[in-house]
Amino acid sequence: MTELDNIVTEIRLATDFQTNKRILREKIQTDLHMTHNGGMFKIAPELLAFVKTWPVDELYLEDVYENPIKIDRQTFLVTAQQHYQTVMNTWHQEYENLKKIRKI
Amino acid sequence: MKTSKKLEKSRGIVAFAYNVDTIDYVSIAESTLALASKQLGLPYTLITDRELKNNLHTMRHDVDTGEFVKWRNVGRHHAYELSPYEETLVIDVDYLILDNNLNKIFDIDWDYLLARNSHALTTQWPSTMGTNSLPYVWATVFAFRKTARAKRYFDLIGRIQRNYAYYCALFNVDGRNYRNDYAFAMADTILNGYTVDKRSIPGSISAVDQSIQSMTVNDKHIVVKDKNKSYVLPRTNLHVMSKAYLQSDDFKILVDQLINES
Repeated sequence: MTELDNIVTEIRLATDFQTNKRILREKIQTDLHMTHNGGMFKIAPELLAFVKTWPVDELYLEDVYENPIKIDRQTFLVTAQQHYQTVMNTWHQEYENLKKIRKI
Repeated sequence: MKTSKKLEKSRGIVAFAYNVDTIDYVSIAESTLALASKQLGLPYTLITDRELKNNLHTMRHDVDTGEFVKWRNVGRHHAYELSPYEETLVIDVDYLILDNNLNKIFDIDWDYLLARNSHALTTQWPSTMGTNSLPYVWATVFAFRKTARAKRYFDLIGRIQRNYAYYCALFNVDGRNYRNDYAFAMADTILNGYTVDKRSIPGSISAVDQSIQSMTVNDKHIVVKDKNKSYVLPRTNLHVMSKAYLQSDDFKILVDQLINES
C-alpha cells in the first residue's frame, strides 16, 4: 500500500466513524426526552442544575412545546436524574463500542 | 382492512399499503407493523386499497434504480376515519420501529403530532419545501387522537390533495408531484393560523436514504451495508428507503430475528 492509499483509508475510516457517531448522538438526543405531568422535557445539565437549586418545592417549568408545566421539585429531580444517568450511561457504552469497531 | 388482534385497547398503529406493479407494499407493511407492534406493545391495523375506490397514483424517486417509479400515496388523510383506535400512530411501511421512544408521546396532550426533523446517512435534507416555502414536515410517522381538531386537520389535507396545484403555488412549494409531507405541512400551517407550530414528535427521524445490500443486528447495534461501506447504527427507529432491500428475504429474516429476541 502506498502512503497515499494509507491516507485515503484513514480518512475513509474517520469519515465513517463521524457518521456513526452523529447518528448515535441523534438517538441519544431523542432518548433524553422525558414526560412529566403532561409535559415533554429534554433533560439537560442546565435543567437539572436549575431544578436542584430552586428554593421552592413547587414550580412551573417550560417544556419543549413551550408550555408551562407544574412540577413538584423533588419528584421531578429524582426522576430526571435517573433518566439522565441511564441515557448518558448508554451513550458512553455505545460510544466506546463504536470506537472499538471503527472498521468492520 | 386487516387488524392484528381483537381491539382491547383504543390505541394502536396504522399503516397504509397499496401495491404497485413492482413493489409489494402490503408484504413490507406486514413485516414492519409486526415489528412496530412488538417494540411498542400496541395492536396494529393495515389499511390497503381493497376497500378504497381511489386508484390514483403519483411518482417517487427510487433509491435502488435512480428512476422515478409509480407510487400510490394518496389516501393518508383517510387515517382519521379508517383507524379503529382512539389514539393512532401512523407509520410509513418503510419506517422500522426499533425502540419504544414513541410511547412517550401518548403521555402528553395533543390532537395530532407530526415529525419535523429528519437526518439521513448520505444526504443533507433541505430545511424547507422550496426556497421561500414552509419548513419540512415528515409524514413518515405521525399520531392523532379522534378529536374535532384532528378531524379538521385531516379534512383539510383532503382538500389540499384535491386542489394540490393551487396550494403548491400558495406556499411556493418546489415540484408539483403530490407529497404527503407537503400536504401535512400546509394543513398544519393553515390550521395554526398561518404560523408554524413547534410541537413535534421528539427527536429526529434517522433515514437510510441509499440503496442497501444488508442489515444485520447484534446486541446493541444495527449494521447497514451499502455497496461502498458499512454504518454501525444504534437501535433507533429507521426510515429505510431501499424498497429492493425491504422486499428481500434478508429483511424478513431480520424482522423475524428482532421479533423473536427476548
